[in-house]
Amino acid sequence: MTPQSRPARPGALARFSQDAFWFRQRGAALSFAILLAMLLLLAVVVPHSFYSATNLSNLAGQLAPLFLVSLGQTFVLLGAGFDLSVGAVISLSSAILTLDLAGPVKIPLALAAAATVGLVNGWGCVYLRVHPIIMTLATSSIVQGVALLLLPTPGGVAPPILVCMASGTFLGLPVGLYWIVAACAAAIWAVHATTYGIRLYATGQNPLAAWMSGVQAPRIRVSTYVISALMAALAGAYLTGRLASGDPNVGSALGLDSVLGAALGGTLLSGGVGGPIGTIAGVLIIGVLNNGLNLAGVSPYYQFIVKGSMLVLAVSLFRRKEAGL
Amino acid sequence: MRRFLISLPPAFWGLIVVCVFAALTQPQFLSLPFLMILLRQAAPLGIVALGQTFVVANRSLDLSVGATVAFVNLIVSHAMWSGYPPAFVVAVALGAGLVIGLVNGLLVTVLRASAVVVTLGTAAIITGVGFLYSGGAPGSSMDELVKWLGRGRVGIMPVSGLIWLGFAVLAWIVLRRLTLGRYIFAAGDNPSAATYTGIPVNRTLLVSHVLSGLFAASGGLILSGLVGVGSLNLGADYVLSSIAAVILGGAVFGGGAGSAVGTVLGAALLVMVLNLLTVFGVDQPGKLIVQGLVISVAAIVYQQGRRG
Amino acid sequence: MDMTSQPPLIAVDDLSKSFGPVKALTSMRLVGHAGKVHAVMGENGAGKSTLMKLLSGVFRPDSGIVRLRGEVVAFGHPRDAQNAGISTIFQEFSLLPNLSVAENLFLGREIEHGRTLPAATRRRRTLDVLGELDLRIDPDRRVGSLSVGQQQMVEIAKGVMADASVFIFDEPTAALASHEVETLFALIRRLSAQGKCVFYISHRLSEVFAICDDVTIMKDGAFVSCMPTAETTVDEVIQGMVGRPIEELFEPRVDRPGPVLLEADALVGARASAPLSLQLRAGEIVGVAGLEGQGQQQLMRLLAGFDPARSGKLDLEGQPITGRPARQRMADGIGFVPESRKDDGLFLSLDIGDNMATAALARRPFLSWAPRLGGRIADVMARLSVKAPDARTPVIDLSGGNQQKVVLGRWLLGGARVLLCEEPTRGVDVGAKREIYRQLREFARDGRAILVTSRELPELIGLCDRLLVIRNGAIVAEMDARAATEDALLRAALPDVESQAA
Repeated sequence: MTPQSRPARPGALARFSQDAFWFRQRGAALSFAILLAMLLLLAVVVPHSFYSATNLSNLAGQLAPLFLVSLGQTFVLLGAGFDLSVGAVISLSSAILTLDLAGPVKIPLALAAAATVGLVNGWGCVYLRVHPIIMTLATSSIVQGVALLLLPTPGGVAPPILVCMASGTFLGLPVGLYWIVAACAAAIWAVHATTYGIRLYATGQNPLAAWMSGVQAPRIRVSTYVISALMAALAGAYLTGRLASGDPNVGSALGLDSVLGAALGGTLLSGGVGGPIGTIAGVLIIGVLNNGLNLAGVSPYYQFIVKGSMLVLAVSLFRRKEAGL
Repeated sequence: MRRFLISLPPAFWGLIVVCVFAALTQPQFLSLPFLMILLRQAAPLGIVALGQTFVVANRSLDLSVGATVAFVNLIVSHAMWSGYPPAFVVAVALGAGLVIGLVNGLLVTVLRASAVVVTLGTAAIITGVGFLYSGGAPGSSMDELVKWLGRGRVGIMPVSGLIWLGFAVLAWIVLRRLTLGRYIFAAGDNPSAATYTGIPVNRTLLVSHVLSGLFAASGGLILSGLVGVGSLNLGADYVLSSIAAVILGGAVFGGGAGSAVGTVLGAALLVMVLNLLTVFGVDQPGKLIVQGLVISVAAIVYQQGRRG
Repeated sequence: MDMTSQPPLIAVDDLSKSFGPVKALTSMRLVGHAGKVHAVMGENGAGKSTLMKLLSGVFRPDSGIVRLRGEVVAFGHPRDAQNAGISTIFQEFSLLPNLSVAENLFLGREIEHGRTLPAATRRRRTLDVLGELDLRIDPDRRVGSLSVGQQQMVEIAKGVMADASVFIFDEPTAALASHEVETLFALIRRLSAQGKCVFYISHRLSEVFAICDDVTIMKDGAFVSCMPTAETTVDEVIQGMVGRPIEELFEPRVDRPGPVLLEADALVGARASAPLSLQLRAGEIVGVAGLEGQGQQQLMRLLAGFDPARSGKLDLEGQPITGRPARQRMADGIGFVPESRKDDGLFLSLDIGDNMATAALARRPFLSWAPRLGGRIADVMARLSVKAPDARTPVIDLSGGNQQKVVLGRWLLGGARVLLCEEPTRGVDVGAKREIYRQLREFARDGRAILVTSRELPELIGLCDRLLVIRNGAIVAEMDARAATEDALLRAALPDVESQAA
């Protein structure tokens, strides 16, 4: 019988800190707790307006793009990277999708364009060793410029199939909800049920140790940027379908929000911890908070302040070794 | 001599290329009156970029400069100051920049949070506060002093150009002549080694952020004067442009390098390129693309050689 | 138990490896037999770590052959070595702390015959392997929450699961509690009984003689001797390890040291837990000798102030400085040269002048004018014979030796009275070493005190006036350098030598 140096403590608390899965998701647990608290608060303050069918279905419709990009950003953060070009890619896909081309051509084109941006980002950050901030800031500028070239002002016609898939209801539930569920399920599957997911955690945490076990760390990191870009393209497709037309600036706010959604869910910027489960809580916190503030009659300007404060709070909860970048 | 040539920032070579190109294709571009107009336009960005130089050299980043510029603009165009002496308004604006820088610095050093995310967050907060303050309707009662600072001239020389020069000299003194500058470069290059030689790394980083906030507010003041009225979201593009100017000026994104002169040249280059593009009929989208390409190329080429 | 009767399981022949100008391994040979535990011993820098990294696929040899079961093998990546059946348990583990035991064991190996193994299968196999090693650890448990001993077991489990035939242990008991050591030994005996070949790299003579069948001794990156432990003694082993030529590099020592400059009295820090008492006198160079990782760094950093004092006293030139933080102590006159000049010593984007000036600047207020030290910098550069055109040369262009001179010169410029120097000549060529020794002597002769740590015993004997031996974080011996021998120092530095003396 091997004597254990630390006697096993019984109970949930010990399991929590000792179990690998729960350790990586402990931010998520905190976030869900916060979310629960918020929902309870809303039940007291504005029960009828918040918990109404119309409001909730509106909320689902609005939050779909944020879910998509936050989940995408989660992958990049897990690999210890950072993607600031998300907003621009959304705008680009919106622009492409309202070009004067046939639907079956436009949709794959938008996705291919996004994948290309992701590859460029990944290649620059990983192989050329440019800092992710600079690389993605630069590509964000280029991509936004291209978006404006293709679509100078809001307009154009979205492919009908997208309009159909992004508005109204299906089987009584708002269409956005299906996008959300599909995206969350896919992300959770990719991170928690595949070997890719485990290797991603290893890569983000300690690329050297991961390499020694045969993990292709550089390729994994590049793939996270591609995933993030593709999710952004999907978000752009959704928004374009919902508006039934294009808008070259539609993505600008979502860039920052994607980081916030992931960070609030416990995914650390240093990589290797967190995941899509927490991101779900993070995005819901943002959405519910904004919605709640609206319903309570708080000025929309406060939302900026709240959002910024949440970002600062989320990031300051996790101390690092050195200050700075 | 060879070492001198290598140490010249990319902006130096870029300016030569641009000037030659302009001389050949659009000679009136290089005429004195036009250059003075460019100078007036470049001055606000130039000042903001100088502030950004401090933080980049210190291995950090300030993404809240755009929001600071916008906020200052809202302050100085607000009706509430109409009874006060103009110098007072200027002081308030600069004070706001100081406070913003201080908050950024404290969050980054004390909480050891990522500068990128922190300054993104404070940018959002500042924007929100600005909206609340102006009620969504920016005012137009800007004092004549501020307008003169932004638009006035002394002879043919724009006042803002002289102010930019003043800030450049100040930045140069700090970076090259003061102990603070030595600390910034050392702490930016290798914080651990800096600690082992007794340099106060955290305090230095804090001061860098304070300076960035102060310079951003000053740039915002000048820009407000130039524009003449309150405007929503003025200077939003200054975040990207200031970083571009600093990188073109030879700063390395990991810290430890950067110069006032380089940043000045970088800002000048950027403004010249953007205006040249306008003259050739390229508008906003093209400019965004060019700006992005310039940053990435400069980053790739100049960050490779440094420490790999 | 005849060593030559069976063919070796693994045989290393004529293996060499250099890193730049440094020859880490020269024509090394080693054989390992199935069912035997084979110790590899040598002083610091003898090349054991390099040998191990070559066998585990982390590095590629410059020349030489490795044969596994008679067939030549070459490893381009650690995975190749693992697939060939060599499992290495490193000192700094290659485990991912945030992943579970099962996830770590299967990292990179999740796919078998083209299909991903289901989680249930992975869990079951993990439990099987852990059971084989008699370990009761939950497979889903986070590796970071395990004790060091348990983490080591998990590393071993990786090898068992990969059906390794060769196991290499590098200083396995360094961080283990005594009951964990027993567990490890039982495990090693079991592996050996199963016909595995085990290599055991360690300094601990008692362990080597307790559990190993054979021992190979290395010195200066080369093979010295190999024999069964039953046929040799502690003395013989030590003799094999020491005896490197002490080059005639050193300056004459001081006769009478001056007044006490630095005095520590039962000083205890958060990381240095054994009370430290020592005295440094003006004009003398004192060396701290010991095996790697015995607390040298903790001692230096405690004196420098990076580890705040919990109790005890520290006086500099009679003035108490116990409570002062590092920055203050530097202003007061203590200089500190960290071990890794690349990570902690140099500012690689800056030039020589900037690098040297940092210490002299460090006590000044932000808004003061940075002093023009040009003349003094040139002075120090000349004194240290820094080979560079001028002070504006980027420090990254300098050789290792010149870089080290710049780091040392910093404190000359900064007016230090006591210099704490970790590994003064690490990664420095012979010519520069000579110059650095000369400089350190001159530095001391000017009325200063120097404390150095070094992995190289001959260097310490030649350079210093007095030697302190550190073991397990405490000073266990002190000797006059004039009378010291490598043999005596090593005996004092090795754990459990007395109990094993034949």
